[in-house]
Amino acid sequence: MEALRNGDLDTFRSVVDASKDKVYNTALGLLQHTGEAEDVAQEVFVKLFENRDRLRMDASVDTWLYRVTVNAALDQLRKRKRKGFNYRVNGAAQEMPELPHFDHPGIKMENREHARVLFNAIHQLPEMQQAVFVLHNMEGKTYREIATILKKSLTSVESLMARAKLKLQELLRNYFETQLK
Amino acid sequence: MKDSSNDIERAMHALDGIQRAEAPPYFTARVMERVSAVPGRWEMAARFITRPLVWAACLVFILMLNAFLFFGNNRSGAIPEESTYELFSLTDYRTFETETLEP
Repeated sequence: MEALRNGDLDTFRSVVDASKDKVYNTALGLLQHTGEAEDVAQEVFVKLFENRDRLRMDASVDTWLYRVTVNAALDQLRKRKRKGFNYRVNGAAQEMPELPHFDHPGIKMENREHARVLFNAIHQLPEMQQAVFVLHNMEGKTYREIATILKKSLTSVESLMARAKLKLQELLRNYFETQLK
Repeated sequence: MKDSSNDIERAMHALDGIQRAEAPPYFTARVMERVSAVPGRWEMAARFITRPLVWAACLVFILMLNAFLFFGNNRSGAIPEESTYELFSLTDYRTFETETLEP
């Protein structure tokens, strides 16, 4: 931590190497776009380097990285929404641009089709519910760890997760029932 | 109509056993390149100070400070009427005769 705070580039490189997949995977889960996820992940590490002297000695770098990644990815989602909104206001398009089908590279082959539908549904959840669901299901974080990352209470995280699951079931039901008709 | 509950259940568990996606190749190299372009603290400070807006703000602040001190001093520099009266009465009372000044 001390070497990182002092701006030692070798230490910083080892932090990037150790954490790049975590950061990229979290950003990818929220953004569902490889290019945007890479941009966000790079931005997160640049921010870490710029703010290295503000890191607390007792704080976990991982927690900081997850928090900044979630915030940056949610900002990117907001930008995307605004862009869609502007399209509609300017009359350039009637609807917000739909995301293309997203295939996460880590999904088992037999789950690929259902995962595609699930990712589409995740994308329709409110921001915080998306963040909690992605951190838990894609990064394997416990509710307590998520509470620390998002600076929320444990009860709040549990409630967000419960609501996310209910909403996902509803969205999936609508989707599959429409498909089966 | 077929039952959708099986599909819902499968979709809800589609992320089970998911592997973490790996960052693209050369990710670290790209980050290190961007980081090496990050200016140091002194460079950042110098860039900030040399901004025209910062110069203008400093100039306005100095002018305002001068104006405040000038008008503030003028206002507080005026001796109250009561104290001038006391000063005059003191000079009226004390007459400095040449005899009293000599030992």
